[in-house]
Amino acid sequence: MTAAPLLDVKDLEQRYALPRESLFRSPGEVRALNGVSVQVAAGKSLGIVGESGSGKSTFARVVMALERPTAGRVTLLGRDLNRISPDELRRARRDIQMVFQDPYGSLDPRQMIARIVAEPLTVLDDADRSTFRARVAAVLKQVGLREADMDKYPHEFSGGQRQRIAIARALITQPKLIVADEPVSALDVSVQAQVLNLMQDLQEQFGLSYILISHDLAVVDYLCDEVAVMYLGRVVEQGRPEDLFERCAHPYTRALLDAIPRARAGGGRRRRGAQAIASQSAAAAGCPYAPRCPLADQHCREVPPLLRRVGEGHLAACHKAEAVMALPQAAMEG
Amino acid sequence: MADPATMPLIAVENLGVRLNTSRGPAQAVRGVSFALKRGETLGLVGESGCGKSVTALSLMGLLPDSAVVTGSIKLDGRELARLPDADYCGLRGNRISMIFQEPMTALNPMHTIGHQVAEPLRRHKKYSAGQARTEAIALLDRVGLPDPAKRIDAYPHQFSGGQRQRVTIAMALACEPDLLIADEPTTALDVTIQGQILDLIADLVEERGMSMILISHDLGVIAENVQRMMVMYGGTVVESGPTDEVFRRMGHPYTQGLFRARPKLGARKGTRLTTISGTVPELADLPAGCAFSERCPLVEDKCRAALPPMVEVGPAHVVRCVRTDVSMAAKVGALSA
Repeated sequence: MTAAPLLDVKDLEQRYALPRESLFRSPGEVRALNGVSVQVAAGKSLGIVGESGSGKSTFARVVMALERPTAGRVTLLGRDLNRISPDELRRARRDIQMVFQDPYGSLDPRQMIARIVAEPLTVLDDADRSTFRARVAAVLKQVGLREADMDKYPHEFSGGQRQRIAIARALITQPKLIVADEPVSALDVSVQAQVLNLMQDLQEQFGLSYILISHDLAVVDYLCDEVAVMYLGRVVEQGRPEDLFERCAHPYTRALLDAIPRARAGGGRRRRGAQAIASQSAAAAGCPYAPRCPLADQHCREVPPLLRRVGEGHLAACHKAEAVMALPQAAMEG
Repeated sequence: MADPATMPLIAVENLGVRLNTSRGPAQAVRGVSFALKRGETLGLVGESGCGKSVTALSLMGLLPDSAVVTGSIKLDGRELARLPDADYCGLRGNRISMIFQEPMTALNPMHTIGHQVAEPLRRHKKYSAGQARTEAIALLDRVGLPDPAKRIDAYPHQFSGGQRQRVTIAMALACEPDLLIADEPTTALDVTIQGQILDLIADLVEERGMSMILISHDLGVIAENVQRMMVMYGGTVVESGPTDEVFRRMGHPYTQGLFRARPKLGARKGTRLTTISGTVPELADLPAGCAFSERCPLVEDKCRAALPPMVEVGPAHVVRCVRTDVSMAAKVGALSA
């Protein structure tokens, strides 16, 4: 990893208070993030995978400085996003943009594309309005749309085209980092491939970094240089996709891999063990995954495992990581 | 009367559905035919707008009043197409049931889950309130909802997405239907929960000898869960056959395109995904010939002239393409993997 990372997230914690249920008890809380530390180098991409409730989207919101974390730091290009003044933060936002999941909900139906795409520029002080149209035209071309599309409304576009518009809007400030929260999960398979190829092209062209949040391991594998698997607000395994998916060291990663239906002949049904769903609010002792883990023993239930090195650039939070890595691995698709 | 063992449970013949859309009349389904015996499972794959959900809704008699249905849908020999709504009410939730994609919107937020699971029992089986409640608890227990006796009076918002989907499955199964239609039952769920729900559906289908039509855009879900599959595009069936056969030897350029376009786990780094150029056509202005002709890499003049006929390429495996000689030579599919 190079000298100073583009984004440095350190010990990030986020808690939300639950409504008070009793006059005599203090209100409960949801621990959405429990000490997440990751780094993203310039031009590299980080994928975040996990189930709903694992804290993926909270992580995105805190990194985007849309929420203030309970504890921890988010440093972008050397600036702590939660310590700088609102004015500085507004200017820092040019370096970090977001693409949302639903291309139908994220574009204002009453605004023309030119205005939607130029909106991030209007909040920047140095922007020159007379050049807006030229810049919008340029960025629309980069995402594979036409200049004439500027004067249309969102309803005139298909889902894939709308996601291209959302990407154009993110690109227009020439950001260093784009946070994409499930950018292709609302798209059809054939269109999803087009958008993923576009994201890869843009990364090569502009040296962008992505934080790609997805429940689809194959999408993350395709686009990312590093993957973090989250479970109940913690990173439980982190590493290069080839390490993670071929030699996974955490039983949860393995459960995710095993759960993917494989598109091939003679697939048949593979039985999966029943798994209980853990709660986000309880701060139980021991490993948070222990109640679902087939390998858990007394030690796991008492002592929480720390994220530790299990291979070159490969971290896992499991007491039995070596045992998991020694298991025969899930079959890959050709 | 034909022997019920050999007669198909549901036989769909040349089904066509025309919908009125804001862009004019759209032929959402054209010439769809299939038959399903008791205990058989069929998968429908395709992208949005290919007509798979409209096909399902026409079996359920849930199309809008303005829709024009042609062809025939026979349940145990009884014609269902153009059946008056009052007659359909006796079948829906009784002999044919459906599980919808979004468990939150499929459930009524104002009623307890117990009330909703008991509703088909009260209506079709004329159970008393007490009987229906006991039966609802048994059903909720069967679909794996924890502590059903206690939670039967809870409202949908008090459950997680996976639990809500279990409740909708319990509703669909209440009257032991002959045919279960599952329209993207796991798309809104996490991948680990998806596995559990699909396991549950498979168990119930086996246990009760139901037939199932599973609709999904996910080739993996189809590969693992149904005996036969149909790929739909632009309102027509473009490929159909036993699931293993289709995955072994994909014949239609569209099926091949779908298969190639998926990002695959463990693929070599730096490879690009093979895309299908263009977008899904609008049903209101479909091309005259093959619906896929505008996006097909193998297109010829004769493809655009008329809808290609179904060509048999293997045992019970048919492909609607005039260029199967070229497409099948490409050997797309998961022969060994």
